[in-house]
Amino acid sequence: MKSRFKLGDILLLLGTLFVFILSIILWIFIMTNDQYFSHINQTNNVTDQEHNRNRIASNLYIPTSSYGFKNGQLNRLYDSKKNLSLEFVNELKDVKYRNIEQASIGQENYEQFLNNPKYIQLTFPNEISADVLTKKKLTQINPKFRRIFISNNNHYFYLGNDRTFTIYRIDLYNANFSRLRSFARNAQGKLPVKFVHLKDNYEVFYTQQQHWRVYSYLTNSQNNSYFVSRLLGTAHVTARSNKNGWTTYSLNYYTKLRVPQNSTNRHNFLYTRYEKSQAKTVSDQLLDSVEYVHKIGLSEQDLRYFDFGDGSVDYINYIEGLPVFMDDHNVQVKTTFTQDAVELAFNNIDLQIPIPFDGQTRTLPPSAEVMQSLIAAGMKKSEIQRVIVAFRVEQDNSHDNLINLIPVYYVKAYDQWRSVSEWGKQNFSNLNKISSVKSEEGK
Amino acid sequence: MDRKRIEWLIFVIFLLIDLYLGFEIWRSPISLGNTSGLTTTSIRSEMRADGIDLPPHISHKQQSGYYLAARKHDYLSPKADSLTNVSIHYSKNDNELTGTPKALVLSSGNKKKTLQQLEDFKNDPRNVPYGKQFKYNPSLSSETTYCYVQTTDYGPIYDNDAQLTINVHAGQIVNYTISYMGPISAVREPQLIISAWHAVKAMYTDREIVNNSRVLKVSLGYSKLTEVRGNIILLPTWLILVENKTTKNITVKRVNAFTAQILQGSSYNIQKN
Repeated sequence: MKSRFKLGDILLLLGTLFVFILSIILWIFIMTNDQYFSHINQTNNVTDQEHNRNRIASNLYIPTSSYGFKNGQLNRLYDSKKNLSLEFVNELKDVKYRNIEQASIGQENYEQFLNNPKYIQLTFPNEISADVLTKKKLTQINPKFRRIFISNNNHYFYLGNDRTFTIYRIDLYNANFSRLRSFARNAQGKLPVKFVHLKDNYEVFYTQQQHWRVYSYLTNSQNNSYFVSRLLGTAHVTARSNKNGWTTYSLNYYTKLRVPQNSTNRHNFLYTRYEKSQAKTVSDQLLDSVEYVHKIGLSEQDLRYFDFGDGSVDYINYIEGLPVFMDDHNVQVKTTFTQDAVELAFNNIDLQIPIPFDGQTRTLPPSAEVMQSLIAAGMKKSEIQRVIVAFRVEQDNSHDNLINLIPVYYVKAYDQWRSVSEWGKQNFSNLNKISSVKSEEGK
Repeated sequence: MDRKRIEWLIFVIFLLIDLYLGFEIWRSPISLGNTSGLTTTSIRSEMRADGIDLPPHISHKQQSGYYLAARKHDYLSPKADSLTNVSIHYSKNDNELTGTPKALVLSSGNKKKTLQQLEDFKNDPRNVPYGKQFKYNPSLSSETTYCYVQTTDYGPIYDNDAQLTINVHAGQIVNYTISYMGPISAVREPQLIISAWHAVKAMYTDREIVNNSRVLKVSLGYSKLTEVRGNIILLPTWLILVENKTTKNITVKRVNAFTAQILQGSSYNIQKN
């Protein structure tokens, strides 16, 4: 009888130890192992996914600016009736890509290309990899580029990488850019500009004071349940609110969505999915982010690829060739890939209905003046990465959900986007100290 | 005895935790890579299985379209004095003008000849204001009602506020009704729009095409979206004509060519007499 008690004790002890160890193993499995989950993806039709991804990518990865020369003067081209970038994308649809090779390297050669009047230039806001444009890898190198040079020859065009001063040539079959050339020649709007080399790219500087139009839009915001349903599904989702005005919806430990409570006036959502993954190539990051952006369910009509860096790919709405910053300096969607998680930070305001232009404009000084004023305020010249004209969103109280898009200068410096007025409130000495420490560490 | 109870308690708690964690692992997360999963081919064969016939060629090519705007204004009543060949009635509420020919206007002969006679009638500014801006649309017309839509540099407008309808009875023009939106301009630069096939697919997946029917025509035009700040805003829409194979009724449906959403409340039937 006594020995039976002892056996029971031992079994209980072993059982307790077993369930304890098992719980640790299961916990570690959930937090680290994503093979079980990635297996689910493999069951999907890979070809369908690729086709779908390429289709969405074709709409998001469109050049956002075009430039051409007239009487020796470089101009930013704009035509309200003919979208030059769209025309280029349409003309690319039947093109077959044959080969890609390096055509030249070096700053001097690169600047000759930039300032050569025989080319029409189409630019992306930041670098993309060649396979995003060609939909297939033409070489193992898969070079990155930011601008496309269209010559008078339909058998090839050039790609330019501002950072490495490298020009690549892509041979084409079945290409015809004659409509694009004609549109570029006859474009209504031609703003005089020049290229200025900043930290790691050539920026477009407006050489004269310009009057920029103020546009208005009726906006639409999908409610929280729309995004919960699209990103987490409808079953097994739990919600937890906190006092700071956020509600977090969780599908499980590794998939959650933080949404602003209705009482707040916020529109920022944050989706997080914890999963272990290997470091992605630039091309993978760009294309993988496309699927996430599409899954959110925002309007993609004006949404374009905008910025890239530190594992994040940013998308922003472009209106009449200019990007629209939300909440002072945020992009529309920011996708971030780390080795442990995927994060999607997005704003749920869609620019839904454009309102006819009512004659309002804002006058902005030449770009060089803006940069000089920031340098005079303490910004380090070597830290200035971009100087662009973009829209800031301003509520219009004359109508519900009506916003005005106010053109202002935005500057990217110290890896942050801010409007010039926001930079004016910054303490540059701290930022300069941090950047000095970073560059020392880099050495 | 107390120690044994504590051991049992710990055992049960961890067992429950294990069950919960096991359940979490078993439950599959939503896949973000998920696509519609339906290929063009499978949708076509599904439609065939549902008895839905499609036109021989529907374009898969994306085109471009604009948001358009028209200034809200009474364009018709100032034209009343020049309409010397017709008696007119203007409805201010509907912004619609009805004209009845003062003299007998014949529309006899074959269909082609009738159309030419009606064309001459509407192009005469003494009969119809802005008549030259309207184009005959056979899909919206019937034997006795000839429908014309307002055309623009950007394409035709499919809306009751931009339409000319000429009623014909026993070979004579009985009267006409016209509404006119005025000059149209683009609000923003052109944007990519969905293909005709994408529009048909969107209608089918939204169950807007009933079984045993025939898609007769898919055409691109502009439809009224809303009114803001004294402007009518128009957007590109795919107009899809669907005929019920049994009743022969034709229904016209519209798909937003930017978003592929069905424009609710925009469908209507055409009576073929």
